[in-house]
Amino acid sequence: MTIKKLSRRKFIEALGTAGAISVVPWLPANIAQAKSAGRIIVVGGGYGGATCANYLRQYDPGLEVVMVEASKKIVTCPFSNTVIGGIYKINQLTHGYGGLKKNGVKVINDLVTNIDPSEKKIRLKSGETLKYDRLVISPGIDFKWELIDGYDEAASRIVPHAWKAGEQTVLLRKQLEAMPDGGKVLIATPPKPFRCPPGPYERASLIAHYLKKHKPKSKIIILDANKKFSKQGLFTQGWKKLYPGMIEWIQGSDTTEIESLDVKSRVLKTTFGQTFKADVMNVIPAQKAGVIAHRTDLVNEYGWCPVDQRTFESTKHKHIHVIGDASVAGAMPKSGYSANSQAKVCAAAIISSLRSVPMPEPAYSNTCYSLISPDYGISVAAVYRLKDNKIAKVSGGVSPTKASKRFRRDEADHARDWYRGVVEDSFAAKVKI
Amino acid sequence: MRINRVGLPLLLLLTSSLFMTTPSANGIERVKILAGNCSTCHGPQGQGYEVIPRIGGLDKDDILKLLKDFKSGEETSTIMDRHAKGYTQQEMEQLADYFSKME
Repeated sequence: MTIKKLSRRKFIEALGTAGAISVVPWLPANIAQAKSAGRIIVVGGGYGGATCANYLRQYDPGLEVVMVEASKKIVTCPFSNTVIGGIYKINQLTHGYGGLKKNGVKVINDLVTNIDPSEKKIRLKSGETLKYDRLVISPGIDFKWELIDGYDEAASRIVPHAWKAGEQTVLLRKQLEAMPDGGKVLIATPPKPFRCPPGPYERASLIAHYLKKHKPKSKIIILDANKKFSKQGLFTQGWKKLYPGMIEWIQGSDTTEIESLDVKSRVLKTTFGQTFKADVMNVIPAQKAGVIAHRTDLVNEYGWCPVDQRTFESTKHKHIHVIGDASVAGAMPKSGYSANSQAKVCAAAIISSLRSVPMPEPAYSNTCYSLISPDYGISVAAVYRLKDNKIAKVSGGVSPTKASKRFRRDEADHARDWYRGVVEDSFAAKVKI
Repeated sequence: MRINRVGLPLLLLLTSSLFMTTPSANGIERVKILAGNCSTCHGPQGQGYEVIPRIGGLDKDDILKLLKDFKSGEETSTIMDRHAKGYTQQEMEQLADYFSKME
């Protein structure tokens, strides 16, 4: 265990008790061997990274766990559509890492600029390097900006994607507030696979919830990149009931592919020459694994990270595990909840590997609620297991199509509790909603 | 109390090594991995929230009966039927036992 170019203060702060062991090399061998073997570095403090760091410590309180995350606080994508719909404020979805630190995770607020799999070390933006025994990366998504002419990161400050929560979420909310009654909102969805499959449709629902109350002559168009979408029957049914005539869904086909976007005039052009103009536009670009995964050669031809689906160890580099949206995880959708589930399995796999004992047979799960209104919730849930080394669904499905008003309200209440639970379980933080 | 620079790491090492030895000898129990699928909604201690109920510290037989009834459809639910169907009888027993022992 060596640390290069790390100041003494940061060294003690970052590594705490377990790290301190390495500065007393003269200890008797039998005592030195009693420590858990090694340092785990977790890159990324989203649902996957935070949960993995948290559970590594929970499963083995003697383990040295360092989490590197650029932001001091997490703004969750789950529930961010409620901010866009004017139900909650962004600060209610913003959580610190204090709980993780309390649980013994050493949090370093920095950016990982380079990973060296052969030397097993990472380099931070500050210039410091850290050695690891196992590395977990949970980098989330990045966008394939090159696919839409005229749309890039700078342009997204005018036409937001709002697919990473924070400033983007607030920007979209502000534009909706500024829009006159009778305005047109356009949501363009990305091609599959993308983070949070029901997300664009929940977003349309909660925007409709706002517009119905405050700007009832307005319309929402969903320009879909796909032929069908998550919980489609349930969303369509909910829209008919709550927002008749307000939401128009344009099914994805060869003719709806977006070619270019002029963010100043808010005009979008498809590959077949059709144009769409809107007062508020929300364009969610096609996605790929977070940039650090690409830089570390962890991705396949589609831009996602192939892993051993039992342990989440990369099939491209040993001792590096990839979890969450960035990973190829069989039948599991790219969701915060999936990332949480994968993180726990990954934590168990790492500990099993460090202790040279067999990894228990895992089971994974996912539960995603969508709010069509604050009193109308729908869900998808599943349990997964390994089948032929791939994560396969063994039970689950969506909410029943035939259900009472009470049932939908119960699911909306469950959605709020779900958020409280998944945030506390992942970030060791209490939610105030 | 002043602890010198060598003394502090040594003290921490000796105290922390007591905790490290025991868990390092074994693997992670499988039920812990299964239980991870419950705690995401029911809370890290199975403590529950406003409508999602507490499961930690309940009677083992009560938890087991509920899980079985969710699976069979005898007990109505919004979502637990979809989850319960994913587990075997033996796994449900292990989970019921695990959560019954929580504070």
